[in-house]
Amino acid sequence: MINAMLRREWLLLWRRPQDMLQPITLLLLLILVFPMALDLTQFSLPSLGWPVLLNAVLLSLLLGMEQLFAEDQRTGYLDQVRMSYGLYAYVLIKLVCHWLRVWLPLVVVLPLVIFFYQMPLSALPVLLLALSLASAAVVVFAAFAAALTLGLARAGMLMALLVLPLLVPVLVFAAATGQAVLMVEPWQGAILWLAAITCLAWSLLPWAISSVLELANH
Amino acid sequence: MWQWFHKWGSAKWFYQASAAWSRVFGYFALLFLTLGLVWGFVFAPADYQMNHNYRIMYLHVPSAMLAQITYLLIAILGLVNLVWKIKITPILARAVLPFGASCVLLALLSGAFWGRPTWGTYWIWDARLTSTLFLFFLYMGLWACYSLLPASMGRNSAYKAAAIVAIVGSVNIPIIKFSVEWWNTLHQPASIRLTQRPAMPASMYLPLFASIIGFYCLMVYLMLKRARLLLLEDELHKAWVKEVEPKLVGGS
Repeated sequence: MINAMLRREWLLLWRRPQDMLQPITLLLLLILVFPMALDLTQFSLPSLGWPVLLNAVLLSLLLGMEQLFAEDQRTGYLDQVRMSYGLYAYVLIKLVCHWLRVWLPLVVVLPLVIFFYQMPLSALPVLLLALSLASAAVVVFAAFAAALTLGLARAGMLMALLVLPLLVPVLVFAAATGQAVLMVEPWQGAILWLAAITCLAWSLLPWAISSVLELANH
Repeated sequence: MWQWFHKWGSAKWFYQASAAWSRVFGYFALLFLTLGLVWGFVFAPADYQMNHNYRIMYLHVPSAMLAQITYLLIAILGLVNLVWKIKITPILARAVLPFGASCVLLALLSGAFWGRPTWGTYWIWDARLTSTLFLFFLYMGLWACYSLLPASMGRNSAYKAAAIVAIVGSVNIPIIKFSVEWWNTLHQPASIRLTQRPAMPASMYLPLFASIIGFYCLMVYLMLKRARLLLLEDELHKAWVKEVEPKLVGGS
């Protein structure tokens, strides 16, 4: 049963490449539009790249996840899963697959950000690790909001209102990691905090998401 | 014991009993707030460093405390609703929400006017200040849940979903509480603790305690007052409403 669900998500991923390309185009645009509004003689680009990337990831992932469960609910798949296997496994598989879907393009975007914002290439491995942890946390929180707002028109606003305050610690520790790496200071403390938050979110929130989906489909 | 426990399942019993409770808490709130604020603002001695500026403490400390306690209360009421399914708990949570949100605003505003003369600025991006500001948005998100979710999932499911949101959001409370100890901030750590003698004379902390008790009573008073109205709104077409408030149903 887990195999069947995984296979389904995998096929959906490759048969609709636009689902993967749209958020990443938005992400790239956000990152590239930002320096247009800045007076580049006054701000240093290398110190701006990482915070801009984090905020753009936050927004683009959030906007891209509005419809995460909507189609499964429309087609009745969600009801079938609920009646047969229970929702927890479904939520977990959905989350892992969606995270992979957003993580793969991020791996491509990060070197571009480093290039455009003139950051040192030596920072890449740690930044990639921090970006992976942060995006995983964003995905699970945004999925919680998507489950809550399932069936509401214009869910995006409410999702942002619910999720952004909760993601502040993720943003703070991810930003602190990047800042430390770029200043060539010890970064391990901040990234451990980030990893702790991500682990906590991934261990508790899928349970909350499946109970909210349960409520929404009764 | 169990009989006492089961009474809370009855909306009619709550509606009738809470009229007297809310009156009692209302009078206590009036008494303690007048006592604490008049004593604090007029009669308490001036501080040797901050002079009269510190007096805003009698508004700032209770409102900041209650802002956190109210959110915690909403999360606990949510947990009680999820576990024991007591019908009145989500209504109490919904009723106390505007009080909590107002307390955050009052704490931020009074803090800004206290910060200006003592720190030289209304606002800094400090851990305590920013986490309190985000608490306000947590309240707003919860409020949006109560008002929007019933349309998509029905009222009872929406109450349970909002309870889950409140429990998830309550992770922010320890961050606010301990932010002044974990990070280096301008904001000072708490001067009064339950386990230690306060770091100020009795003529300063007694009015503060009176004001804090007043704020607690005000919270209970406003919560009960609003819960009674929300209960009537939710159960307008039930038989007990017709029995207890015949004019309300007959008129419409």
